[in-house]
Amino acid sequence: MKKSDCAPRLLATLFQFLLLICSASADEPLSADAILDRPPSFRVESVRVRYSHFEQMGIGYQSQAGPARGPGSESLTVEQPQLEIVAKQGKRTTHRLWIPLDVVTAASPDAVDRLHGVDTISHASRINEGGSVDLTTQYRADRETSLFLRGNYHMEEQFRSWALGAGMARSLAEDNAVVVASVYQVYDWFDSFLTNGLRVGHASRSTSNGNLGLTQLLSPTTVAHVNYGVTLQVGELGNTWNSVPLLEGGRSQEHLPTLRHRHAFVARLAQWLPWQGALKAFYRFYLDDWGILAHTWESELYQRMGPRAYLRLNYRFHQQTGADFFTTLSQTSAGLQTADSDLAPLSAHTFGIMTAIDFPLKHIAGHLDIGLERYLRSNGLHASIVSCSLGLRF
Amino acid sequence: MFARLAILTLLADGCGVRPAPVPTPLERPLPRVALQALDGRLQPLPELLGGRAALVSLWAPWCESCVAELPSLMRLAERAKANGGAVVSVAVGESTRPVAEFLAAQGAARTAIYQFVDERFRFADALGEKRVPTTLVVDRRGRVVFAGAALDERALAALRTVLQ
Repeated sequence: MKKSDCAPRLLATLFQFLLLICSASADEPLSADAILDRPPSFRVESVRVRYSHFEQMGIGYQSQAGPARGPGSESLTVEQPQLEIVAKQGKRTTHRLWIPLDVVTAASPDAVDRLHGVDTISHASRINEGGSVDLTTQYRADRETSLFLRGNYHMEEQFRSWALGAGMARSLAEDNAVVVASVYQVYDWFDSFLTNGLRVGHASRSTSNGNLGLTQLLSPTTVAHVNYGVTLQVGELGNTWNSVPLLEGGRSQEHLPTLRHRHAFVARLAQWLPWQGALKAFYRFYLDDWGILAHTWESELYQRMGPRAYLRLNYRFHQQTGADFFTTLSQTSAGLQTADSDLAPLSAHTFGIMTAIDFPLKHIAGHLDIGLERYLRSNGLHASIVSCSLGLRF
Repeated sequence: MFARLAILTLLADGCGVRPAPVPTPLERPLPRVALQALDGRLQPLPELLGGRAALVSLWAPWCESCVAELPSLMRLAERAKANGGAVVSVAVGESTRPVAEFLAAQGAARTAIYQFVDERFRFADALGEKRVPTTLVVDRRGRVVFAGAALDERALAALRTVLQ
């Protein structure tokens, strides 16, 4: 046989062989093409909208909306619509997009800018709008391992914030335990003010956070979770317009350290109850180098009220010591000092109730819930939060 | 089963030793544990198959990926039956009534799939399988020749081989 005859015959044989393979694959009744559903390349799994109304009443010594040496008003309201979309890309990747918007009526940097003739620091009447875009992408590397990336951008009128995080979840012991490790970095950049309302340039801060958690199945009806988180903050750690009442009269600027180490240990337990209910218990121990030591206990009781409805009752108790440099009346305007009521020694109670209904639509699972929470704090602050949400799962 | 595993894991962590690895079920005979059909009758799987090759799926109604593969299993059951094989579905940790109601709601009540429950995990424990979904392929001699997770190309290839 000539060499020149061999090549076309070889090609023809190869072509016939390929044709045979292709036709066999397509005609095979038990082939993957004939049996398996191919996942769509991109699919929206769920959409949820939530609306929250937050109303705070009370007083704080950092506010100038009151007598010179006394506490001022800390009243504010927040309207917060939110949108959450979860989408799946291929078989391994899941995206979660979360967009919360805030409309805050309170003493904001807007309200203290005297250069523009505004002097509403004592009226707390200005409105500040803010919004965030938060995207988390999870990639399932294998049956035991997931990786995730999170990015966030927050914008207010004179405040910008960028955040980036990454983490890994690893399933162990036949899925009876899951270990999660994550890191998160935030950079805030905002306008700086004096207590008299003058705008004095820009300030910034960096927040670095690391978390390590373990979730363990203790029995078919009991799940436990522990987590340790450490946070390091550097830079301007106040809002720059908080004030401190002075013994001699008048008010001074708040002075905070430019470094803060924070440690938090969390333990959770979830227990199924035989009367179609569930109990969740939560404890958090918090410690930082500003002198704050805090304990938080919370319990949630879920009770199914029928095949499609359930009720949740929750109670939370929080107790903390104050920052070492907290004062409600300072002798001097120099040195570290704050009158911020969030940094005071305090205890707080939160009571809540929420009811939810799951309703099936055609090929869609619907969810509707409405909740109410009441927050009471020992140093003169209380708040009410009403929240409702509608979710659709496709 | 999960409670035992959890306790075992805790003890193992505390003592600094690892639990013994679960033996692979490959090339092992199907256990003669009686499974409960949705109409209540009890039957060991080897007797049901009677020399037929089969694909066995361990699943649960709360498992999203298990539910997602139901349509594929229904298609496979029709075609396997025409080729002398069978598809068996075993809901683990579930009782018959909720499974029957769930399958009816999914439009999967009347299919060529043999539906069973393994309420007390006896079948799954005997196989050494602790996850859902689990897909097994059984040859004509009743031996488990393939074990995997969700229904995929490898499981189908194994089924084609044992049906030849």
